Amino acid sequence: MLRVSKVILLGLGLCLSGLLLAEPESQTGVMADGLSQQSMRYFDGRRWRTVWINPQELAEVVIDNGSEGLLRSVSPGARLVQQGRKFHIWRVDQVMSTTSVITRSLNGIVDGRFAPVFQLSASGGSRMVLTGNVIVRFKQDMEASQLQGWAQQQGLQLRQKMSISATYLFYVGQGTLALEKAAQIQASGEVKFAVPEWWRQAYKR
Amino acid sequence: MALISQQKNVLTRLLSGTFLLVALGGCGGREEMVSVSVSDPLYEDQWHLKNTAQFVGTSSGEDINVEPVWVGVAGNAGAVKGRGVLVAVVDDGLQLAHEDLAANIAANKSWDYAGRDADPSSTLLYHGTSVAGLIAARDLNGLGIRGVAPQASLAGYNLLWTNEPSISNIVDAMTAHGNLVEVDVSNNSWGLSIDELGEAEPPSDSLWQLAIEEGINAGRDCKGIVYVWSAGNGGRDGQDNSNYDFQANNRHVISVCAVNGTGRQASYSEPGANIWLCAPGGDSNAVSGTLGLPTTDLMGSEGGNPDRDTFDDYADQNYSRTFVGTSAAAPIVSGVVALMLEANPDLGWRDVRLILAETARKNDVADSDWSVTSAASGQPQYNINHKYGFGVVDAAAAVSKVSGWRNVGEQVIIEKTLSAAAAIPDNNSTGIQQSINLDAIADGNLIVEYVEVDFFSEHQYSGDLEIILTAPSGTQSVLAETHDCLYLDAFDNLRRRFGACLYDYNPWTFASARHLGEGSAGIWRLNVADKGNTGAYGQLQSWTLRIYGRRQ
Repeated sequence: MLRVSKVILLGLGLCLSGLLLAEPESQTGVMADGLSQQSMRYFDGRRWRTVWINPQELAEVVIDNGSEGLLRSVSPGARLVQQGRKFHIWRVDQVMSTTSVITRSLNGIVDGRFAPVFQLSASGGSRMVLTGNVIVRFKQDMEASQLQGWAQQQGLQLRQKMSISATYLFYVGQGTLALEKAAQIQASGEVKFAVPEWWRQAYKR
Repeated sequence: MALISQQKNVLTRLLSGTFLLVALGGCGGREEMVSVSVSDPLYEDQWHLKNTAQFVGTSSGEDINVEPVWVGVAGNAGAVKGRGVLVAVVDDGLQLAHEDLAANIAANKSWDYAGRDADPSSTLLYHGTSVAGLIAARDLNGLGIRGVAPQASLAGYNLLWTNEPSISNIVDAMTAHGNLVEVDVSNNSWGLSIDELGEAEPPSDSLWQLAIEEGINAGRDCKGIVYVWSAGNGGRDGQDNSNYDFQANNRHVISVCAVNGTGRQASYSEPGANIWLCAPGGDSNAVSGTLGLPTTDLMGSEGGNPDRDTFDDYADQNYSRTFVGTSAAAPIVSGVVALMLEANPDLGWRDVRLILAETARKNDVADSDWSVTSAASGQPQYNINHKYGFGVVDAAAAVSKVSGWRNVGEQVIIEKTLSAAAAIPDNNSTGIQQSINLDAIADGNLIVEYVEVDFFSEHQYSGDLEIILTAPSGTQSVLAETHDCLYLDAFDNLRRRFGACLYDYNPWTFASARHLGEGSAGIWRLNVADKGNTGAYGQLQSWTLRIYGRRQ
């Protein structure tokens, strides 16, 4: 895997806050087409894993039937590369940096409508999009009041108890917040694990 | 284009009416006449249930031998049709009101992840409805087809109503949406790994695995939900292997490959040391067109029939005969498991696996990859093949075996790691060899049920590596083959990836079913050879051997 030391700050304006704070080993890499991209790390429940942000792709979350195509209004050359029921993924004709025209334009559009696209390799692979939730497995089951107190302290909203023991789903926020918050909770050592929740493509056979 | 009706050789049976089977009774040689009303109009086309060479591309007898089970000839269980067994279809939907499924739908057991209600019916997505028909389309109702377990109950979880399920929904579907006690079998004709590319793409997190473990440990009154999984359709270009799929090679799933109508490897079916067994999955080729498995389709003009590429599907659009893939093979095995669990509801998930392995039929007998295990004392010897696992599922043999079966004892796991970094010589067929010794006294000599190898390497082109595990018995498992890593270009053509594969085996868990019933004690050898591109270098960092088994 090729890597370069040159640091290029990337990120989407709408989700950039804290992007570089999530994990100390954030780094850049070079994609197959020569574009630099940024990596982040998260705990997957068993081990730390590196994930790469694709600087030329953006997920547009489908909120209702009329929600599609906002990106095209600010980037006429955007090409739809993956169409799903939860989100569409667009490939744009420029690298999205904090100063790019696309990013500046998207900043004025509905919060939470767009999300970065991640991949498990610097050179491609299945696309993954953060849902905005964090999954936390505690060391033991917690009383409802304890759970609410803990969530409030962490700035999280309890969504649901999951069907595996002592495991809960919390809403954090859009952009990279779920990745950052999961890493922060994991690093605290007070839980069994904290994992960002992903949407990932599945295939019928 | 498929012209299916033109492929028919002969129609040997009546479309409806009654025929008689002569069934040989037990030890006394008593004969009895069993009346079977053949009132499923498309039954004669279901070559996977009864192959009479009725189509071009089929050979007589290359089926799952299920008729004796329905009429009570297999074992002491009487007529077995899956009654009282609940099979969950995790897929893109399940049309609850389908005319040939409705009688078998379990009330209020399904779940719709889109609408958050108990009806996962779809007006567009048909894959799950076709899967369900293969498992449990109702028999003897004057309609359509017949499932393998034609009176089993069905529940549908439309996890794949979107192609991008969230991991929390995946966890929910794997743990049967809270029905851990009631669901017996979970059929999964899907995967998170893209087929054909030859890439070992890692999981995004460990939650799928944790959910499966929950189902195994707590499901079905702690006897374990039986998870059946499609082994993968990436075999056509010869680069993919089911062992590069972290779901299909998991210890807790039964990985199912596909054979065509002649009992040979379907062109798309992936090989792999992890494969447990095969079932008919149909095939498609330019010469003979599509030979699919007849099954249910969405009622009316929606769904897979009509299909713009197939001009000769059934006129009755509630059914289709173009369903092909390991997606079709897995539900055949799920149906057989339902039959087994009706005959003996006390079977644990490991018992089901063992019986399926022991009773699978050796198919394609001329294939050069067949070998046999070296059985530990008192254990059966198994036929094994990287393409076929233990062979093709045999329903009558499996159901016969469950009567009087004594459940195996507690599972024991042995795990040992060797960390001795070594360079892998480039473009060298000998490679390197490392070994782990399992001591019969200190480690115990288990009867092996499944083997995993956590493999840590750093190599620019992981596809260059051939990795072979050799057991103390001498039985070999090819865990990885030298292959190209591919990608899809903008026009969906597969192209060879130069320079580097997307993922190292760093780490990657390979698995093998091929040491079943052997003793674990002795020296396990791992051979790693770079037989691929010159100039792509790397090294083996460490490996962990994990044996799942039971005490002798």
